[in-house]
Amino acid sequence: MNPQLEAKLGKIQKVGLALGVLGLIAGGIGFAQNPQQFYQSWLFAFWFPLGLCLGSLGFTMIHHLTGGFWGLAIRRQLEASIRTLPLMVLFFLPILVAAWTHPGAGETAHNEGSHYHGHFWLYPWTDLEAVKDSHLLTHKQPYLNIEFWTGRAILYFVVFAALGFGLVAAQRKYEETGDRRYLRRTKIISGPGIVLYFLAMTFAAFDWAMSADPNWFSTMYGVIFIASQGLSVLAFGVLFSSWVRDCEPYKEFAKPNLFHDLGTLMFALTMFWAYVSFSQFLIIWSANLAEETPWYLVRTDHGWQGVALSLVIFGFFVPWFLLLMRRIKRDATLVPKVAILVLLMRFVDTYWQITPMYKHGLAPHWLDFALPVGLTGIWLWFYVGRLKAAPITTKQHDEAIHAELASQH
Amino acid sequence: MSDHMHDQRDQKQQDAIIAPGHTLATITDKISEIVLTPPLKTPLGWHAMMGIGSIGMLLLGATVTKLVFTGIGIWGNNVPVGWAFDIINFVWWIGIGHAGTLISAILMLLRQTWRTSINRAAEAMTIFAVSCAGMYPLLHTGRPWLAYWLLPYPNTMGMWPQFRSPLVWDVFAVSTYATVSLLFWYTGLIPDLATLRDRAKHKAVKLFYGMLAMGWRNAASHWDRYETASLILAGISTPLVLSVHSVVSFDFAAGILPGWHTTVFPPYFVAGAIFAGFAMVLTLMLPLRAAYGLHDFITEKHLDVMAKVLLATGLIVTYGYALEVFMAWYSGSPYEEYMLINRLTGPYAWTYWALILTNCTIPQLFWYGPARRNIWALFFVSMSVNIGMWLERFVIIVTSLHRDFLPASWGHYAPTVWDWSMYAGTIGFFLFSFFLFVRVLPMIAMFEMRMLVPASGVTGKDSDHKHGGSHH
Repeated sequence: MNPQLEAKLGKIQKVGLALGVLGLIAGGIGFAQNPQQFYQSWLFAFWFPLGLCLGSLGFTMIHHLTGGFWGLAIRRQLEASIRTLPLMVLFFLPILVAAWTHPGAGETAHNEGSHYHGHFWLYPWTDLEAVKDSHLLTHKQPYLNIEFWTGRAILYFVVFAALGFGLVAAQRKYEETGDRRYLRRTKIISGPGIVLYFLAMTFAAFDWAMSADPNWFSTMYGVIFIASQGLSVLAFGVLFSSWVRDCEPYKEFAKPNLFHDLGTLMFALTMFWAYVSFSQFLIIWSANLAEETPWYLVRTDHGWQGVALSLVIFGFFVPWFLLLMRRIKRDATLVPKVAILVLLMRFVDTYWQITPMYKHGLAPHWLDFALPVGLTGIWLWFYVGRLKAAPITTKQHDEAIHAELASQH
Repeated sequence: MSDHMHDQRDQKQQDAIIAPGHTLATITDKISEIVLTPPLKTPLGWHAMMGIGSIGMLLLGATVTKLVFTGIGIWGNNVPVGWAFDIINFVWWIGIGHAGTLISAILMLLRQTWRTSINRAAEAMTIFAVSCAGMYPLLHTGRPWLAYWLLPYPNTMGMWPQFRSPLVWDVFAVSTYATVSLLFWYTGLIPDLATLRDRAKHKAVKLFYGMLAMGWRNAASHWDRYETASLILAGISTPLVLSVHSVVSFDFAAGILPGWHTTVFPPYFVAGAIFAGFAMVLTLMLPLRAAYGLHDFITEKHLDVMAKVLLATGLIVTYGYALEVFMAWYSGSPYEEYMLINRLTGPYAWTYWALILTNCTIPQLFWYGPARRNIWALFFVSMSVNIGMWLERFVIIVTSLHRDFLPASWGHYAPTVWDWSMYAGTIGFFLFSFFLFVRVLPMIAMFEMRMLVPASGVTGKDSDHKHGGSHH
């Protein structure tokens, strides 16, 4: 590897690790002080690295099926991101623990914000006493029970791992042997894989996020999470490509065209995310049914309305307007600034999705900052490690660059 | 050409979006010939389709006359099923139109060159399908001459439309869609109209195309403006692909009726529209390709890609069906649950199962590569989807309405002969318009096809995205 790149990656890794360790130490202190808050912040923090990891899986499969230069250029980044999946399993463990354990008698006081009562850390349906008292929770018990929920979580991870590592392995085999059969294999995995990813991700969103408010339901919910993951991956791709753009071999292809393509995709997904989020809101607002509106009522009151408004303005209008301009999309110093805004708003969006289930008013705890920084830091450290473990460009990418050079001469 | 030449050549031919050996002249000759042929030499098949279309037009005329003189009571819809064929067919037709916009706008922005040979016909299809769709709500008002009341304008009655109603949004969404589609289509036609003007022999024909070509002289400044206009129109059309069918889905989802009110409706309707639209494109293009010998322009690659689009959008629609079933149970609402049971086992259960067969099961055939390049398989699946997407709207609308919250208000719906004649009539109108288009306008964009030929020297801005396309 080129030493300049190695130094740069090493630096990113170091910063990631430092932030990660600090965040986790803070998390440990927070856990000792207030486990309920720790679990709630962890659940929120968990979604961001998960989105980068699984969104990359989705994009890799789409790209195997459709092709295009943008995907070849960031293929290795996506693959490194897929290979952080084992870390996701680790990150999931506290959520698993939270689902299986219950707070002691003195600890439930911290749960006053939730409109569900009972002994639970994150998911009201884990408290069997509460389930007995609720007609709805009893009805949902065949689905929302701890054993089945855990079984499903294992199944989701198995599906993601089989797809992700299957793809990475087929790609590596192709590069080692040059046998096009392995390229075909990536397509064979990706076709059904994209279907499985959508299904598993939808139900994971139902299980891990939506079921924290088990009375509420929305068929759009999974789509919103998937759109959000795609957006995170593109924004991160832009940001990372711009960090390393002056090092070989990125220098050769991290050019205005690449940023333009990624910027256009980011623009499209910004619209798509806004479209699905707004559609869900409009349909629920318009029908005005008592079983659905509470979800929005708590999210548009007691300070949360400001967060909701910031999502409309900075999650949609500002990036949408900026990304309309070709000049910004092609500029490797400007488009990453938009990407930072997009990434930041992914945090805000997830916070707005998850936290109001536990807190009526907007009152961020310091763990809500420490844990996302910690988890993302650790993820970044691990991610760069995976990235270093393989050549930066893929065989197909090199071929594509050569073909382009040949056609120009 | 032997099939057993070496692999790479084979692969190249399979992936070609225009058959090898074509020059700038052969493309123009082949496509303009279809239009400039003297009337008596038009293929027999065309006359047959035109005949069917004309009969349908007469049927439509008769139905509309009867409807206007008698009233909408001649249709079968009545409380509790106040909406039936009128809205089923409205949604069906609007959906069919979507393929045209997707192909001409989104695929243009995505620089997908394979769109070139099908975009013109698909756009024409959009316009005729939207016209068919538009007839339904207008005639459902019973007094179509007062349809302008739907528009918000200051009037002496002091009446305004209900802006919170998705039906009013529909007025804007559909009329914008029709206008933009028409402009886009016509703009794209201009260079080809000029070609026809220049090639026409008869003076009247020359005059006809000359007027339509609006003075196009192939000047560099013309091309420059043309390219800019196309890009702007593509940009405007892109959100319309999403917005029109989303608004249509709000017609249902914004209400509270179980079976209508579900949040995933907008993207699921949009995917369904593209699904239906591509099916219709295949249904029309396969026979045309055979009748006019267009195999060089609509290659196996096109068929393969369209089959893949059908497969993908079909899976999204299936995702929607699956979520509806899951949420109906998960919601814990007895009305939602009953809606589900009624769909699966009620008096109209056969429509639901037929829908699952035609929309979800049969398109799975396309996982198998050779099926995507087999004419008969393609035609079979596309017809299956045409039927399935119609059934989907029937299931959503009639099955949800006929048994709502109060068992006392339940009822049954059956279409009358006038429902069917109106439906058959719009199909006739569609066929008539489409085959008229095939006869008098170039159904494939000649100037865009010419750009695909190496001799054109157009490498395209996307040479860095695909194999370059133009090396010798």
